[in-house]
Amino acid sequence: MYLTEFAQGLEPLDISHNQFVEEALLTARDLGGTVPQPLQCRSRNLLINGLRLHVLDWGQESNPVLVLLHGGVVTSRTWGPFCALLADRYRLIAMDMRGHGDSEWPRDGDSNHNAMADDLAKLITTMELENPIVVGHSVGGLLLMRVMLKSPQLLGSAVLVDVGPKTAYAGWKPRSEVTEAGRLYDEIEAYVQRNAPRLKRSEEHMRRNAHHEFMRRMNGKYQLKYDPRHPMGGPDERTMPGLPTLEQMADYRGRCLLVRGENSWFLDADDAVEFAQRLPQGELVTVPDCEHMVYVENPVGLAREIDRYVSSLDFVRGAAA
Amino acid sequence: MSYLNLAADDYAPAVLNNTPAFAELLAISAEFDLDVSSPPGCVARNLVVRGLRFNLLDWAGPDGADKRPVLFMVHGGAVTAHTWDLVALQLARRYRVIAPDIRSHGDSEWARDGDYDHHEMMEDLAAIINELHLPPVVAIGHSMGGALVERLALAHPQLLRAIAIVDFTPEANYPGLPIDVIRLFDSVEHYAERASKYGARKPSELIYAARHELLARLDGKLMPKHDPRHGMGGPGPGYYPGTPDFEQMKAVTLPAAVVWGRESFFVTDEKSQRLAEVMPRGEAHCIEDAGHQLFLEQPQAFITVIEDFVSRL
Repeated sequence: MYLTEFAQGLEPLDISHNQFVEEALLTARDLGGTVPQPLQCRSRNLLINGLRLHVLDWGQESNPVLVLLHGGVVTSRTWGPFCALLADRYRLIAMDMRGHGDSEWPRDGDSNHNAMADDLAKLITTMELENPIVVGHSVGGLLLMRVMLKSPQLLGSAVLVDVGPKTAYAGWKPRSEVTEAGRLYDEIEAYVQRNAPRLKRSEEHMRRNAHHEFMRRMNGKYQLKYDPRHPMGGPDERTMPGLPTLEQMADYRGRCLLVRGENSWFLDADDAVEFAQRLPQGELVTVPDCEHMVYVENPVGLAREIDRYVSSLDFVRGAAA
Repeated sequence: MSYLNLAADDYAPAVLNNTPAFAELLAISAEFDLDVSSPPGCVARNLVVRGLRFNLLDWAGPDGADKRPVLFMVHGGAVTAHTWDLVALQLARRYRVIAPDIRSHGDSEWARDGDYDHHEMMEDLAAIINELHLPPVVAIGHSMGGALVERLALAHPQLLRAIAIVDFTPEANYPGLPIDVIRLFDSVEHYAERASKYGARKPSELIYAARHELLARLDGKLMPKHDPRHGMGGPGPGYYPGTPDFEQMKAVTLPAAVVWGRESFFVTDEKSQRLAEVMPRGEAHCIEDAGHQLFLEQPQAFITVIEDFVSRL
């Protein structure tokens, strides 16, 4: 049983007036943002690589496109407050990675990063997006780096959020079987109480979002909406063969914005500086008052930086003029 | 390759006729002395309904505008839509045959929340029939698929022209599979050898079935292509509340064929007869020299029963 509404068929579902959008707006305002209204948001299913992949599609189709890739364990919904801040000026397409959120879990458990990067490339071609600015956080950034190397022509520009070829995170070992569900909760509130302090979030914001990141099993227990077989970050040669290196990334000729959370434990400050310097057209900004979950802890700061960066891109300025 | 058979990757149907598997199907058909001339077309396609992706095999006519009666064939637990291929190849000469992979089986999506309530799975079938805008179909369900077709006949009779329940009855002798137990196999032959214990099937057909019923994992092992969180279910109310009993089946007023194998471990002659008798328009068809997988053991006898039944509608 799912606790949040998503498209049931291939027709888009308008969720602009859904509780999820309302709550994203409230959280964005609480964190100091100005949210223009009305907000537009659609839930859509796509068929890619033999899987049903789900996206949230915010804003008008004629606006410049941002494609958003979340990190491990979280979902397209985690970008909610960030999207609410920018949905008047951009079309924001937040993808649920395979095995996450409201996307299909690969039956064979294949979460090889090459296959997942191909999901992203095919999302761009299937939706016929021109010059999309792709924003990847954490694991989503690792996938984006692969596309930057393999299919740079698909990208208008790349924004990597708190991730790079070298990270300070060991990842965790995935479960072997789909039946090993990991931690189950009797009440979502127990998850909120446990994790809000650890993630330095207000319980209220955590509670709002958690509702969209859980599903309910037939035995009444709540389970986070990700495949327990899915590996989460950290170099793992089995599922992430050929993690892009600093040397390889130096071949990416397009413009690239690297964003680091000021207090990140995931991406060291020195590594971020070195990475931005090695990118031919790299640019580094730091978003204050946050650790790794930049778009959750300081969506206003991140939205400001990305808005500024995108406005400086030639093809976006040209389109606006 | 993680999957051992071809299915549709995205929006475009995958044509199965020119695959090595299809050539194998023709060879097996020849072993059974079935007609292998001008085989009908078969595609695998994706459909999204009820928030899930479903694979279905569509033995549509060559022009795609197939107006013939539709046989909607629902496979049983732990197997796939391809289990019907041997008989579908023949039935598709007269009818449009559509065989979906039920949720969590074959090339359809696994329910992320592990919801395998039979009521929900029956509603999936109704949604697929609606989504395809099919005229009332002849729904044929084998084993657990028979349980779903029984529910469908009670809940959505307007979608149906008739039903055929194949080797399933209320109170069947089947304990279901243990939930959450992962069964692994070293090879296709290993799986086929195990399946051979459940009926007198030809070795070539067992291998063909095995390739469609297994997926290859990253650890190199082969695993049955269904979600191990699904118990398949004996018909007891403990597993699947609302499984229709004999009394409830009296309300099915559609033409209904009950077809079973004389040697079946799953059903008895007595209960199969009883099911045919409680349904006002029920008729009983026992297939000799066949067990639970009767349409793979005696395909021609099964085809004859179905063609005769449908021709009288």
